[in-house]
Amino acid sequence: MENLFKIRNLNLYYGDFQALKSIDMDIPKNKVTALIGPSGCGKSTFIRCLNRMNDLIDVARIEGIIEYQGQDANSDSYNVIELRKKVGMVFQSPNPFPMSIYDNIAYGPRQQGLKDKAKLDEIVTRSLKQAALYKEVEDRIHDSAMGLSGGQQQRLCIARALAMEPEVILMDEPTSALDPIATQKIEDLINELKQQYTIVIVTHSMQQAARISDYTAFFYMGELREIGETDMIFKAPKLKQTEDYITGRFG
Amino acid sequence: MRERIKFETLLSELQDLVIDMISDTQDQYKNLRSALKTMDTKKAEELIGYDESINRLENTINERVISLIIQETPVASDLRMVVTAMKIASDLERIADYVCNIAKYIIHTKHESEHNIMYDRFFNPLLDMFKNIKKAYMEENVELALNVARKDEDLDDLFDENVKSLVQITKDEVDIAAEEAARALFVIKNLERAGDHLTNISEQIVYLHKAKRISLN
Repeated sequence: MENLFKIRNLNLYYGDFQALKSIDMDIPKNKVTALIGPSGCGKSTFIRCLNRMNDLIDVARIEGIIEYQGQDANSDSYNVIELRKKVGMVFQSPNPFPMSIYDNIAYGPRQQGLKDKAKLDEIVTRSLKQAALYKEVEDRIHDSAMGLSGGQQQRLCIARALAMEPEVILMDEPTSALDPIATQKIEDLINELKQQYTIVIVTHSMQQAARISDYTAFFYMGELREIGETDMIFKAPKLKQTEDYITGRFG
Repeated sequence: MRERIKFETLLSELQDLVIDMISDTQDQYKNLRSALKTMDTKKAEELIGYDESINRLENTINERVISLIIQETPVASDLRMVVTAMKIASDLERIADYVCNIAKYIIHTKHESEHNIMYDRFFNPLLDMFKNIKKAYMEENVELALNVARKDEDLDDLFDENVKSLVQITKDEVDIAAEEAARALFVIKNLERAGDHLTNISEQIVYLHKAKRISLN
């Protein structure tokens, strides 16, 4: 099994507050890794380290190694723009740009300098198909993305990430604002996408983690307390603390 | 720390139902022992009648387990608790069925025979297993559950030893004695099987607390 990310002794501080403590973790390629833990445990902070989104927070200070495909993505010399192209992200609430469905998806490639209409058309169609949205929107691709339902908007955001041909997709509670049917569609999509992409997902739904992930990591108070095959975490976790969390004894 | 109070209560009630079912089945065996001693047909009728309430208890446990899975989606040790409750209930239901089989033998045969003393010997290991399986389940005692499985070997030895002598009777004797020996074989086979199912319960208790599947039979 190939590991795409190797994180070693990762510490993150927001000013004086230490949000991540000595994290050592591998993220395997073409697998779904779920991050679980009570609110404030550091799982979202962690996922944002993987494409250096925390760089945008002035008070955040990161120490340690975030090795991505053999190179330390946390070093100053690393090309952050390249990293964010390879490591896409989808957020909790769908955040389409106030423009057409087409332009939402073409936005990234255009930012990269792509102007060729035929190429852009091809990228938009492929991304919508990969995000299982194409059939629902093919006749209104130039309409505003704001007219889509919440579930469709979230799949549009996934399509927008896919347009950049990433290797990794980070998802921070991607279904928490969606109804059960829309959630089901996103989960089916994640299952499809993992053939080609590596997915890291933060979720508060234990059932979702159990259904869709291959590996589950339990975070607690800034520490990675336990990581293992999802099946084992939900059948017989090693730590009582993990057990207490997944069985709903605290959180 | 927030406890799942309702869930904890439901789990605890489920455990109590399993303990009740073990006790009721154990009582059936105690009563069967005395019914067999004197070939008491009235007691045998009562044993058959009581089996229905044990079946109902199994249904209640199954329904509770299904509701718990739907409403509380248990995982890890909670899931093992509800799944093992259902499996233990299934074994107990089967164990209780053997009582009915033997009760029907009592009703059919009516009179005592030389085999009655032999039957009684089977109840020493069997009732000991019952006592300890209940204790092991209640006290979450894996070692005691493993002891129950070891006790089953005594029951198996007793069975093997008596099979030989009963088969010999069927060969040497004719008519009534041979038929009685054949029926006695049936009785002890049922008692021996009860031991096997109690051993299955030992396996469930090990799985419940250690999350490991082992084969003790």
